[in-house]
Amino acid sequence: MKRLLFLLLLAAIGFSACKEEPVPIPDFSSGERRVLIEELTGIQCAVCPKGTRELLRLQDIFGKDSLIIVSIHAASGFTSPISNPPSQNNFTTAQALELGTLLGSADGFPAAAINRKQVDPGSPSLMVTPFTSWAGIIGAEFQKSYGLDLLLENHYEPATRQLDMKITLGANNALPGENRLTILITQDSIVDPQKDGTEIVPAYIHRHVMRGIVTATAGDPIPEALNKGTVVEKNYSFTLPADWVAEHCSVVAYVHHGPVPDREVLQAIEKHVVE
Amino acid sequence: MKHLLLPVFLFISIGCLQGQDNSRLTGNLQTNGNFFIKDSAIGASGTPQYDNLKFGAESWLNLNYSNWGFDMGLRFDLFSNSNLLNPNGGVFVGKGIGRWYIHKEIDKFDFSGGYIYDQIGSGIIFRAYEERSLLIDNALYGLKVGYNFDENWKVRAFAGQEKRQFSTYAANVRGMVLEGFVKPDSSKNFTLAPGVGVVSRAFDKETADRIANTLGTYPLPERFDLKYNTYAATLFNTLTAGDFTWFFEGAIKSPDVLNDAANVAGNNAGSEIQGKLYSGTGHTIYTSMAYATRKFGVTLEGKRTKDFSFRNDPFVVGVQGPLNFLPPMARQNTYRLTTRFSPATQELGEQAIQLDIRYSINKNLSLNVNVSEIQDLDNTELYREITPEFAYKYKRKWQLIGGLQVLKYNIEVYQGKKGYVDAVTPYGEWLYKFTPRKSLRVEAQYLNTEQEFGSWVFGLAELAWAPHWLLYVSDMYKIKHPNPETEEAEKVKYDGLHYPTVGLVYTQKANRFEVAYVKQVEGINCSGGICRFEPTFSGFRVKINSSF
Repeated sequence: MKRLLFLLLLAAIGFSACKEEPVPIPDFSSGERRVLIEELTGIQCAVCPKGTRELLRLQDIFGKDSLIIVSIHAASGFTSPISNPPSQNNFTTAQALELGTLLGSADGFPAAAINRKQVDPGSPSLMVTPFTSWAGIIGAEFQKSYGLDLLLENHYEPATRQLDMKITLGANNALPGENRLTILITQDSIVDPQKDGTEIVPAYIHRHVMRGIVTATAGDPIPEALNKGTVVEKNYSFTLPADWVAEHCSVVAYVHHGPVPDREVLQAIEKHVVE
Repeated sequence: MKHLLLPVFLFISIGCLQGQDNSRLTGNLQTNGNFFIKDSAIGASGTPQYDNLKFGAESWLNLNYSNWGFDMGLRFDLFSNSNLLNPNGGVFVGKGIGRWYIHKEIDKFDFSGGYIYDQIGSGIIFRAYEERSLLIDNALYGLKVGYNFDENWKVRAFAGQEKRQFSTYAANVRGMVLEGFVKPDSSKNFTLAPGVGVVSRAFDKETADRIANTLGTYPLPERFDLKYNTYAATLFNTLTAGDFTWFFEGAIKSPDVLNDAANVAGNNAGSEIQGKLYSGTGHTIYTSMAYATRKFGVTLEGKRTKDFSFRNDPFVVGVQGPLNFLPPMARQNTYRLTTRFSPATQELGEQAIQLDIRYSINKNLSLNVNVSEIQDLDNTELYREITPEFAYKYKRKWQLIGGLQVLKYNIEVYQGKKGYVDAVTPYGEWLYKFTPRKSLRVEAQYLNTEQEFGSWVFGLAELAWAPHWLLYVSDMYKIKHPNPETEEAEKVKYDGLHYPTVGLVYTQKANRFEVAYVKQVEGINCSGGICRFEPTFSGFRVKINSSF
């Protein structure tokens, strides 16, 4: 009996105050900060479309202008072409592989980097799994702001297929450290086979496919100090290859830290090549 | 890093003082080295290890020291471009103190501090353990205090955070267990070993906020109340009466955040969310009844699990992050082809039964039959295995083991591939002793199936010269489909391929050195029902195990 009383006493002490208030659940609306998602995928990756669908669902919630998606076909071991029906496109370019390596390997798929935030401090990779955790991390990213505005203007000349891009950075706060600018081109709605679950979908619609990188893959360093009130303008030109559909292409530009102290994306912007 | 210096200093200081009576220093070293040789034909390519790094290794050096009533230990862990944490292209680099602990008994009290391994009952509500083949090491980094009421009854309580490689999970864990031993009549062989335990896990603020933000993206009907704490309680007992043993454990868990990557419930309800979090109150009931005599033995196990994933963080899935361990309900097979389709324990819902019967006809011949049946909670078949087996010994000269595995495996649930695998695998093992020190062991298996990649055949020959040398040669061959042009490319991609292995083992007292050239097909690697997919391997493997 003494033993039972002792145990009950211990239990009462150890597990007292079991009643607690629920954690408030936020309702989201798009903030000023935009969030960049770099999704690691591959046409042989059977579970990756599940992640893509989750991102599209989140884009509907957070807003298409606010949640910017880039699909990088560099998922290790899942990028070889499909033979039946045969793949018509090769999304796994040298630049895609280079960017995938820069972001780090994934513990599994679907996997994505969210504003290049280091979610697991113990891992060198920026890739976040499982995909069910993305919504929460994206929500937290929308609640932060570095006070950096980006303006992107595109001019596309169909005859020469030359694309001129003007990026204007406006800092509302001091942003010390090494800042870099990365610009890349995505193409949306490319129809080509994709493994999806247990099936190969012949006419799968590939979304936000990373086609090319205009700057260096690791980003071009911004030599100007970004102090409060600083405005910096950058100009780039790029010729779209013939097999890219300009009407479905977008320019994605983002400012991010250099490798030290982290690689976090401060702000991002996306604009169609042809409005 | 500073916090690691103290245990190292203490250990070295105390070690230097040894030489006193009753001191004892023991240890062991385990090292695995993998040399990756690219072979695109069998799918061994496309990971950093094959493409660039070429070598990966992991090593554990463990030291234990006892003196003055103290037990203490220190373990150095090294991971060099290792693929053990994530075999599918992951590169894990790290080194440091993987474990330290100090333990002391003072009268009826018992204290442990540091990284502690422990479990309550069969582990259903709490198990801190290490399984190196899957790089599971969820030791509790904290403090444990025990008290012995008498020689039969003891209680212990613990608190801390669980280990995550070289850091810890942010959730805080606390628990308590009371265990006893009752023998009502000392003249009869009847005993009870009851126990009761409770565990609580509290999320940290960052995890709670991340869950709340995730729920904020869900439609209102799919949101739920989120709380920091989850509680689990268990009641267990082992009854022994003569040759009969009965273990029973029943556990419940308060509402917890569960991660259903497939979102089966949501899909059925028309939800647009692909994979989702939900809240569930869980339970697990597990029982095992065994009757064993010298000639006859029978074991019957049953288990029902509902919403009993209990993790440090709901966003950490797979083999990492569990606080508990649910007993597996299928036979622990050992042969290469009989382990090809192993069922992973389903934490969110599973009901299973397993029967194992053993009968020794005489001292030379024994028979064994194992039957296991696993279903989900909607009675959908997940796994069924029927394996009759015999073992025949001829004097001390040779021994023959033969069996037939008949299984049905829901490969869609376990591996995300299509449908079911129906497989029949006859297997045999023959051990012949030329002399008491020289022997030959031969294995042969044939896995017959129409599904996944089709049928396989495997053979192994192992020549042993005790006490030092062992040489083995094996090959696993993928039998070609008769009409490959009519099959899907995925199904015939390994047709006609060989996966040979040659290895040499040298043993010197408690030291074992092994070098092998290995080609191993992709598949599921399981340990105790905890499974993960591992890709094809091609290359050399070096293993060193040493105890001192």
